[in-house]
Amino acid sequence: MNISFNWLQDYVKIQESYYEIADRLTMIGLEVESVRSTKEIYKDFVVGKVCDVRQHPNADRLTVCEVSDGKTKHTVVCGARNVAAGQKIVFARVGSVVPSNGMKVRAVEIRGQLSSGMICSEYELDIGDDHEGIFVLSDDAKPGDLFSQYYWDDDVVFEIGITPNRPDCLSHIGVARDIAAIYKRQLRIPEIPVKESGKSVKSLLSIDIKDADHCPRYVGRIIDGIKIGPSPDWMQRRLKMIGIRPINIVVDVTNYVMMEYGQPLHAFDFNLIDGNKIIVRLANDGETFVTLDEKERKLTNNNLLICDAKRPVAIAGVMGGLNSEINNGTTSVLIESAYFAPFSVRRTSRHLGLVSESSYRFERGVDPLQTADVADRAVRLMQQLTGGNVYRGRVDIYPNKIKPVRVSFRSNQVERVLGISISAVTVKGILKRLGVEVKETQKRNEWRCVIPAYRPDLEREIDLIEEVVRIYGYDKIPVQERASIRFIEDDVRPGIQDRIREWFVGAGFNEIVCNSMVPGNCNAFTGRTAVQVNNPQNQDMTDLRTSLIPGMLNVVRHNLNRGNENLRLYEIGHIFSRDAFHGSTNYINDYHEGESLGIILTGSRNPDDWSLKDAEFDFFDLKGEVESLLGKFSLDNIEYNIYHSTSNTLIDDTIGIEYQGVLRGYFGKASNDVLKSFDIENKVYVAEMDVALLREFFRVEKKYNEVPKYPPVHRDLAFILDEAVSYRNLERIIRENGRPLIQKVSFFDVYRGEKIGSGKKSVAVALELLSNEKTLTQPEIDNTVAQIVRAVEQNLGGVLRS
Amino acid sequence: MNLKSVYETIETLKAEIQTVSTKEDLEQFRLKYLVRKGIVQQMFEGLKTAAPEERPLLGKALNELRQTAQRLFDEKKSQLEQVQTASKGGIDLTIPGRRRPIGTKHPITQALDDMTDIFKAMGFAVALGPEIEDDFHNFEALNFPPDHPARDMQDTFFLDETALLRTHTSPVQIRVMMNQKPPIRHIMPGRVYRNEAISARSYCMFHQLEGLAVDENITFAELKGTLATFAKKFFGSNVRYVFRPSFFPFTEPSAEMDISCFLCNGKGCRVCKQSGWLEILGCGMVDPNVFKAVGYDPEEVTGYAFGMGIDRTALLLYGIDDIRMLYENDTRLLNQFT
Repeated sequence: MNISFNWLQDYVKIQESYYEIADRLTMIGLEVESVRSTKEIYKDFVVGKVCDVRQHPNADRLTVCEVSDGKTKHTVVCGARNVAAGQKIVFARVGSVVPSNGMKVRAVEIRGQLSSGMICSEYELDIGDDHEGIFVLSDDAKPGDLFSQYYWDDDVVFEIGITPNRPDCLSHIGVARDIAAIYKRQLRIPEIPVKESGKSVKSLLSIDIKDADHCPRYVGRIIDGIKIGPSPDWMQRRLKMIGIRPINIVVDVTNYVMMEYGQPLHAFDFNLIDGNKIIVRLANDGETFVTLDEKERKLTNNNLLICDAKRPVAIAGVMGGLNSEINNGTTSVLIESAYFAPFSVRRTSRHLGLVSESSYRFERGVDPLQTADVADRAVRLMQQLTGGNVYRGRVDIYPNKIKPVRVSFRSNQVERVLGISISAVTVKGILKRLGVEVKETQKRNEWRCVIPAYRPDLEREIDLIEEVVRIYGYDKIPVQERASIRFIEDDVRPGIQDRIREWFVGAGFNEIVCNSMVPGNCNAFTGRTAVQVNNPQNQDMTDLRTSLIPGMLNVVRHNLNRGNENLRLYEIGHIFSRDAFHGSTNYINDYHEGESLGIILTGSRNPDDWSLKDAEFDFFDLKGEVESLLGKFSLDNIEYNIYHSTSNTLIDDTIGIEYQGVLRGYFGKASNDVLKSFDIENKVYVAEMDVALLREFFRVEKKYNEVPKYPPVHRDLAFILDEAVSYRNLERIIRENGRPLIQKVSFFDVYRGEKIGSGKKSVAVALELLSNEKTLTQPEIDNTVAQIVRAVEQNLGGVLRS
Repeated sequence: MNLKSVYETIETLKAEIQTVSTKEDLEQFRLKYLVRKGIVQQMFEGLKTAAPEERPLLGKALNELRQTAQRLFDEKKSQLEQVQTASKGGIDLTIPGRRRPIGTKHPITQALDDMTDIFKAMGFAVALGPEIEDDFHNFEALNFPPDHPARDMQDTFFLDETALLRTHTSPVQIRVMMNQKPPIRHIMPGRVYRNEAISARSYCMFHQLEGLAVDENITFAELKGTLATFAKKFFGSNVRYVFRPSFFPFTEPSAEMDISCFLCNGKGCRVCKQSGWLEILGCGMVDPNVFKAVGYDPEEVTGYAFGMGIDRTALLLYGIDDIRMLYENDTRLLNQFT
């Protein structure tokens, strides 16, 4: 909301500087977001006089003017047709900055003629659209006077961020009222003496409200015999100052009064209102209507219409119709001042996607008690400015009077909420200055407050407490740097996420954070049904991610394109699906949401280790990371199984991470299809698992197991096996048959070659044997080894390699 | 001893030092010549018995001997040390070690961790909630009535009639209060979504940290104290702050907290748009309607709530001027946050 500092002073006396007022307004919750001072904007613009105009010697369309700025004369090359000697104009000195485009005026040579300064058009001054001709001032302008003083009266405009609870401050009187409350000054509301004549309005117009819930009050007044033309300069300047384009006298008055009182008005050409009748009714489903902006609007039976005897003429509170608009031939005007229900206007405005100055105010709530006064104010101004004839009386349909809100207020609650005691006199004083009527009751410290109708936000005691402290000053509340806290009973141990992050930081990974909204094709690879956004911002954000991997692959591509080729990445984040998945919770409807951990490896294993410089990551690096991580979180009975899925095509040869037969994650090399669709040519290894799995088994209780008393014995064995025999089978056989001495089986080599024969491989393992009772003897060791060798032979056809 | 023997000894020294190649050899050299009972000192002893007329020349020569011995020793010593550091058994020890890559937490996580630590020390526990919410938790229970313009303050991504992507972490307040009785002292970090045009200053999702305290006797004064303490710990003890009235449906009275710009110390700079102040969080006393929605009695308890954007604070803190860079995850940026 733009508020003019000069305009405010019509309603309240201000002796403070504008920046002090801006600061105080901010500190009572009317945040002044920016301040534009005309003195600043038009610093180097002065009233000038064109002393002489002659043809430019080298250009037909240009003239060379002598301009006096009151003190000195400047030679200026001008391209405007309407420039003439004797004119008072706005002169921009060299060095000034043009408000409309931010360009700096320089002394330049134009076709061999030096030009020092500029004669401005309305457009350049940012006060109108005309950029063809120069802006000619009236003859009383004195050369040398600052333009900001001459034209704007050195006005300042505040841009105030009005919060949705303060519709009363969407007007100059509303802001002035708060200023009056801070400084304990009188608020001056304009007197509205209307000179009425001729017929009674009631004989000319009938108003019928069909739905009083949507329209509790509707006032109509008629002014006749007016001539449409521009509004006076002072009104145009005020409107321009706050960013409203002047149109004509009628429209300007309705806008002016709206900015004065906060009450939106609509002006109909009364001659275009059929049957001298206004009917306020809900639209029929599918009914169409053409608004002022020449767009056809399709309505529902929730939208309120203003109609004449035959047809709709406006969408209530949102926008008028083309069919009854004020035009150059208008002589008779019907002024509508109404109170439309906030919910009604809001629904219509949202349905149409149309927000106007009018709908913005109605949906926040205007003052239902000033409806008639504001209509009077508007016709009074039109009468003053155009000399029209105001018909006697007004039609005011107000079937159910809106009763003032009463709130009981216990003054001790101020301290309970704020932690500061404010005297009853002060509290009462503040409330009264804000227009709240305060009455004593039987009970001590309990008052009955009557809320003014312009403050729909004040409904409860707490609302009044806020009003009190808002004016009293938040800065006066003490800063209590202590609290009595009860020791929280619930779980405060560090989240699993922190532990996972620490692990990955130690392991040299970069954490990344990706958008949860992805394009639809990202989810095609995961085989899960994606949750879709109803109103996506663009085609790249239509779905919620069903997996972290696609987003992470985007990051891989982004980095590869910038030459960052060696990546170890991890992300912890939520994934979503219409189907339940492991680790997911279903909070809302059939949407499933869970926390996921994604891991990516690509490029060189370790570029900072020169001995490994050229070693590229491979599958076993990824598997090792997964195994180490799960080991860290005490998950040792995990099974890694080859996992075939027709729907999840993220990975070729996927290994599933299974716990108790349930798939909780997967990893492998990203499939060529996926990499192709992400435009990645490098090999990328990816893993994803649900965080719930880690949380479930994260061992909090730690317990000591006695370390072995007797030394372990190590034996290395190599078996020649068929290619088809998996290492996992070999290890299982060794473990089963090495009991009870076998402690550890470690893989250390696989060899293929001529000596072994085709279709065969030699697998070497290291065994650790140990007894908790004694030091092992040679026969015991040999016995166990022999047992193992025999079992491998019998079960797997393996031969001990000697 | 005569002049000649002194000069011969000097020559011997020079020859002998050539054969020194190890620290041990050098030590032998030192023991032979440079210690108190070494050859050099012994020859000096001979000066006493020399003829008076020979003494000046002889003394000069002896001095030359001593200086030469010491110089040769020093030179050799430093030469050997250099060899020692540069190479042993043909290895250049100045080559860098085999380093491991340095892992990082995302800047957003780091900022959040720092904030969390401060609040944990003040007795707050951490609570989390879903990112898909419904109208009840995200709006209605937080005192956003249907058809109220306050809903326009947050542009929402909808999934269907009632489900949406949470626009703030405040629904977690509702979940926490519906799950347990007062006292409550929780912080609630998490990801939120707003349907706002993406630019250098805003993104369609970001992260918030919300706080909630509910108990008997909780006042606005305590809220101010809590947040002032946070600001001092997080932004530095010299930070100045101001609480301004504002509006949020779920708190009343509501406030915004500004801190003096820590980049220019309040003098005015590009980041604070010359104002000297930075808006960092919104806060207020929990609105009685919120207590009613979760089944608390507003006559029995009071509470405060606050919320701040983590991403924006991280940008300010680390001097990153485009929010989109946080989600591009260029490792050249990430690796600066070790």
